[in-house]
Amino acid sequence: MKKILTILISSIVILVGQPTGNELLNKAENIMDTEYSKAVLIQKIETTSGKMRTLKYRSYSANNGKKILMRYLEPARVRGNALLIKNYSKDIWMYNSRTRRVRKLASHAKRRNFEGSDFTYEDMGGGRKWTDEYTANNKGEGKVRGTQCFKLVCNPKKNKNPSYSKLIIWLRQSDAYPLKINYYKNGKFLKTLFMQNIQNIEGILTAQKMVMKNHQEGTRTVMKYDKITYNLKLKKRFFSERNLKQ
Amino acid sequence: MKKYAILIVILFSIIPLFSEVFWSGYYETELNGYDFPQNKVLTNYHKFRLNLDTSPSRNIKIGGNMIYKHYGMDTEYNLMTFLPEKYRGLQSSSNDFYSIPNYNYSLKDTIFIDNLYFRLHHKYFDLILGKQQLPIGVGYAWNPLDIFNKKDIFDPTYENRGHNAFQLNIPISSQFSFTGIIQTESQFDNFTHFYELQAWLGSFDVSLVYAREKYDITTKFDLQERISQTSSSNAMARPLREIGGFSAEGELLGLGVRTEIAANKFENEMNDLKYEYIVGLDYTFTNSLYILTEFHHNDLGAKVNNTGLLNYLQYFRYEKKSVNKNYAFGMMQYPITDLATGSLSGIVNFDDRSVVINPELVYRIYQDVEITLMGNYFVGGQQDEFGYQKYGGRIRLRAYF
Repeated sequence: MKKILTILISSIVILVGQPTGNELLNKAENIMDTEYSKAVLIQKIETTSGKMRTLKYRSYSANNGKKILMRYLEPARVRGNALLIKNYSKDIWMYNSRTRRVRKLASHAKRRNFEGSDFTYEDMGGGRKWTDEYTANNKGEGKVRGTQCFKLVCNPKKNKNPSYSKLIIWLRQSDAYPLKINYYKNGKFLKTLFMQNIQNIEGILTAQKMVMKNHQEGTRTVMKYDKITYNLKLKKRFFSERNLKQ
Repeated sequence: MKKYAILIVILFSIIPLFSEVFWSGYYETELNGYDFPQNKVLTNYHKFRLNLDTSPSRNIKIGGNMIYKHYGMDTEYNLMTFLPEKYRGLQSSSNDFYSIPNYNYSLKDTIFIDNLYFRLHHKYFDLILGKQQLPIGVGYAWNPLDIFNKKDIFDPTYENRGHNAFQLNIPISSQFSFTGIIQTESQFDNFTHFYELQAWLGSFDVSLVYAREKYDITTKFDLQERISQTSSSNAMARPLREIGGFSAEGELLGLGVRTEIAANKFENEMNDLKYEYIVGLDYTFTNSLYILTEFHHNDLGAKVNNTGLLNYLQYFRYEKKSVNKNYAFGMMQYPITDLATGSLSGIVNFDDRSVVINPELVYRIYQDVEITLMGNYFVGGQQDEFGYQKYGGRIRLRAYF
């Protein structure tokens, strides 16, 4: 009898102490929150035919990805082209260095794949905060590569129309850093993002390697940081069409 | 020409040796073919473009590029080949200067500096001096406000040539900026002026434009002069053209929308404004299918019953952006694989009801090498703009470095 009571009390304590999905999602966003960043990224895209393509670009961001400016460094075909993404992908300007023309794209363009990779413009960091668009439910525990994780199932909030109809996110139990995300659209399992080689860079936890596996196309894109710093401040006018053309 | 070419090559070879210069460019080769009722045209070219740029200090950039273009196959043309039947094969007559039997031109190998500019970036302004590209307007297929460039409607995203100009951009606030462009010519009175006030308002980029130029326009007198081989003072007339305009590009009800409106006033046509405008929409579906459509109206185009050789000449020489008045452009684009993009575009001339349909496939063979296959299928009557040809096509290979 004493044994049963102990188990019951322990279970109640665990259940009461268990954080909610929304709390965990909020925590995950907070630990990834950055005021400013400057990075050089390398993207390796593995096509269905097994061909590899490499993209290299310099990226600047402010207000946790609300504003992003990206300049392509490689390959030669797109070198000098640049993108300005503001208001969480609501406003996108694309600069073509060959024609020197800047085009404003409507927000539906955020659904396009970034230079043929498995990341959309929205995935690249320009999307709205998860907590703005999704309600998260804590569905217990699971393991990702041997690490104990919380498993969150995120569904769109009422009156919100995010690009994905469901996300399943695995957050590392020790600090709520996301290790794996499954993306669904209209019931289809689209792709999985793996966050790897997580390091503390200037006080900010950063996944040095991100792998996006596209289950529909059978392709894979690996994105790595070549350089990254958070210790900088960028002026408001930096994220302007004028600077895009520099 | 030869001395000039050698000088360009030496200049572009030596500069990189003396400073930190970034170089890039591409090699391009293209094969073009068109099937006309009485003739078939097949031409090709090889193009080499070398871009160089350097920054002697943080706020200064010097850039330039050299282009060498070599033509092959058919290089001698009679313009009549490209015109509807009623303008072809007619004999010249002193009374009918709409009929010229031979309007020949040839494609010659060329080497030139396309752009060569100095750019100063300052907190309060950007100044660009020299030969530079001047992209104007928000339209995809047509740009009524663009008084500088020649756009090929069959290939609207191809790069434009550089212009000798002075460009000043002043950011007034985070939402407004002013751009002034003066294109220079040999005489001060012939300078082209372009002024634009740009605003970023919510989901829209909006511009107000004023421009003025000495309008190069082929007149009846030019044709008459060509037939009679005499000179006429009227042939050299360049009326002053003033443009007041507006453009907007943004998002409405989830759709990408754009419009560009130009009101043209000519000094010899008092109080008679000629309007040219485009209205366009675009959308990306969740499966990445992208569609774009644009409607174009041009008061400067001819009514279908009044269309003559002069209208075609003005169009071929890019003096007017269309032969007739009302057109539409439509395009569907889809990434077939991560290396191949297919598209289907069409241009409709609503006045003579002729249509051209253009399927296109772009395939990236290697990371920096792409091949473009484009076809043209013409539908319409023998006298129509898009009806007198049968088929056309091009294969283009481009390798970037």
